[in-house]
Amino acid sequence: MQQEIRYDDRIVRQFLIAMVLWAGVAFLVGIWVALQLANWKFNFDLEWFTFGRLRPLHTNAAIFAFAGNAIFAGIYYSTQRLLKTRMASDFLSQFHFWGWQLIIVAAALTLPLGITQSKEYAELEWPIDIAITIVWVVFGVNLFWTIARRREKHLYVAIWFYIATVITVALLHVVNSIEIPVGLFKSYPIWAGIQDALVQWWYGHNAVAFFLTTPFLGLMYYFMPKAAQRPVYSYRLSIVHFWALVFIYIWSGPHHLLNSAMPDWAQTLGMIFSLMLWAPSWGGMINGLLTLRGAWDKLRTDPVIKFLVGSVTFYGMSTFEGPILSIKSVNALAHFNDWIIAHVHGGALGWNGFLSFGMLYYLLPRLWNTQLYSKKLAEYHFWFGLLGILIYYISMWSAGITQGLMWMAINDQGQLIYPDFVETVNRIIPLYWVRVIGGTLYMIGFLIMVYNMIKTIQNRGTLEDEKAMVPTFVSLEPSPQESTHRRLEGLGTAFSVLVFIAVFVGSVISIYPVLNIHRYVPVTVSVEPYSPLELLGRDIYIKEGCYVCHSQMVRHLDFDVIRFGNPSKVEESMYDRPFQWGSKRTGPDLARVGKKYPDLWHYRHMINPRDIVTDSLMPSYPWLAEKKAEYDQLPKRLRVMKSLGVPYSEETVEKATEIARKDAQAIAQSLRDQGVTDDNLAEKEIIPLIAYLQALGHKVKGNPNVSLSK
Amino acid sequence: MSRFLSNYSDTTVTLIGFVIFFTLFVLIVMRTYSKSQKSVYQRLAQLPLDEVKNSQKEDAP
Repeated sequence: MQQEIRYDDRIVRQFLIAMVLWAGVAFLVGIWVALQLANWKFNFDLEWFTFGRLRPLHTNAAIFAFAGNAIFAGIYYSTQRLLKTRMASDFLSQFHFWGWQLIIVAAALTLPLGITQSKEYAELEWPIDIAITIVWVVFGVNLFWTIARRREKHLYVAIWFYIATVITVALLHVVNSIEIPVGLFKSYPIWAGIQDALVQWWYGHNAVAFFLTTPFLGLMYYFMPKAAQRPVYSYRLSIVHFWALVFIYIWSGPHHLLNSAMPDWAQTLGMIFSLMLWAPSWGGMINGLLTLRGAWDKLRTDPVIKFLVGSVTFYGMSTFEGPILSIKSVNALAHFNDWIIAHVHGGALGWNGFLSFGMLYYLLPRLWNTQLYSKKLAEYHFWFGLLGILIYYISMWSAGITQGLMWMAINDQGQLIYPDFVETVNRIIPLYWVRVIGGTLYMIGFLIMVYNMIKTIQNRGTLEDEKAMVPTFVSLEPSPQESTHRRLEGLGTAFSVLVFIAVFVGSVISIYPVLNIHRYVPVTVSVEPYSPLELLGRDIYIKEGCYVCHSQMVRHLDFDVIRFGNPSKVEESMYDRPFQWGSKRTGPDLARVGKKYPDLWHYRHMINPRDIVTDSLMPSYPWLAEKKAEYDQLPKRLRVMKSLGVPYSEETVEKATEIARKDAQAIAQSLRDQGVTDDNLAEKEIIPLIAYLQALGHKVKGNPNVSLSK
Repeated sequence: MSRFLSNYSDTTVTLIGFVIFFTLFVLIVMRTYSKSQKSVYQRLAQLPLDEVKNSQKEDAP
């Protein structure tokens, strides 16, 4: 018995349009921040538009707004057709759509205002974190409910990838976002220092894995066969690909912390599992490309195939490069510079971008009941995009390796050949301009697509949900003749539990010991917590997004030690909520900057960095000398820190504002003595920030030769 | 627990973990690639293409 149903195509159209809108924002802000790195004047001396605040906006817009909406469009379209049923609840679909857009708007408003947790790709503050959790649960409920109501017994491999995405992203987001609010727009994470670093990069790496990889692989396994009109090359390979990828990916987070104060075993674990990722990643890539066997001629004529093949090729390149970058010796060269930026954009623009565009060109005529306005324009889009990515990638690859080698260069006397950090930055500025050209070409291709899309939609036919004939009833019970895996893939719940176990085991083994490091490593040093004024300054440092350009992690590498000072130790950041180890050095490391320069140096450097370092790229921060610091918030903030284990006395908590103001007066007076004219200087944000910078590297007491690091 | 954690990076534990996971992986691969499953997986691979038969618009534009 068959019955007629209609798929919910409206929700797919909504997510597609949102994808295109937010892609425009992500790319535009991307070009803007690229310009800021080529010339500091593009910061416009306005606090809302500095690189430190816009860069998180760019990454969040690219990942969660552009790629996020693309994923949801593809999932809603393919899930209904693979399960032969309409989504279980139109209300939940709409709730998901509007909730997600609201979250994006909230991010777009709060990040430029400096409301941030400073945890990469998890910058949004706690009210938005809660909203993300609710919307994600709604999405998950709708998906699993649809799976339960399906009219196709077996779950195609694409659905497995969607299930893994929903489960793992929920786990990652919740664990990484456990924070204690200290106000409507401010919170402190419960994790501190090394624990926060490991949890953050367990999240950060797996956000790439389970937000930018597994759902897109699901889309690849659906749209590649559809576009080629051929089944996937090897369904068996897709099974091995799925389980190997889901199991291995989750362990690899520590490769973001190589050569740092992270325990060696964790670094080795991250490196080994990253190398193991080669196999499943390339298995998936080969499976995708070979799906075109016998249909390669379509590559010349079909823009959808062009984009999909380009996308899978970039996936192969990125997943080849990623494990190489995870080798400790290679990472010593690549980490903190633009090689990583090149790697990330190869994946984001090539893999995620091209797959999204291929999917859009496939869906446009089908969802708007018409023909694509111009295949020729789609071809232009492809070539502009490809050229843009290549120019971007090659320029940043060259910039990264150039700068990395300059950082490493030591002469026969054991001295740095390029001791001035700014010299290593200025050497690559021409390449930053080349990057702008690459990004602009990609943007031009995108605008051509938007024009093509608008013209296609203008010629639309009647918009109605697609009809399909599906079985009236399908038994979802396993039959005794079926093999284990075949039975399993017919059991959505059992399958989901296994996926959860796979990611949970890897997560626990790789992060649990570090979360309990205090239980098995004897503490031989004491660390002084930040004074109230320093804590206030630290919050300003976070607000301005300083971590985006400055690390606080001197690696256990000779050239790092010669340039910046003694290697960073775990205990130094034990009260750091959030940790500020950073991931990029557009400016120098700051872990040892405390007391290196006088207060006046910092004051002048903040107001106009070019007064101190002629060729500096850093934005000017004149508002720091104008805006009042939030002294009144300090007791509340210290109380939360105390509740999390920071050894503040009750008296310090209660008199935090008073203590901080007293310390601030001393700094302000010394600045006034040296000619700074502002009677109310102690109240300004710049004073706590100077206090914090001067404290960096000077908080450890006791025997510094015995370290928790080892 | 402290004793367990302090020996966490012990090579024996690592080796045991490796043997368990590698064995599991080999079993999955063997099961997946057993000849008896071939026809099943061929049918499953057709799932995205099956819809064409049931749908009105799939090939339209």
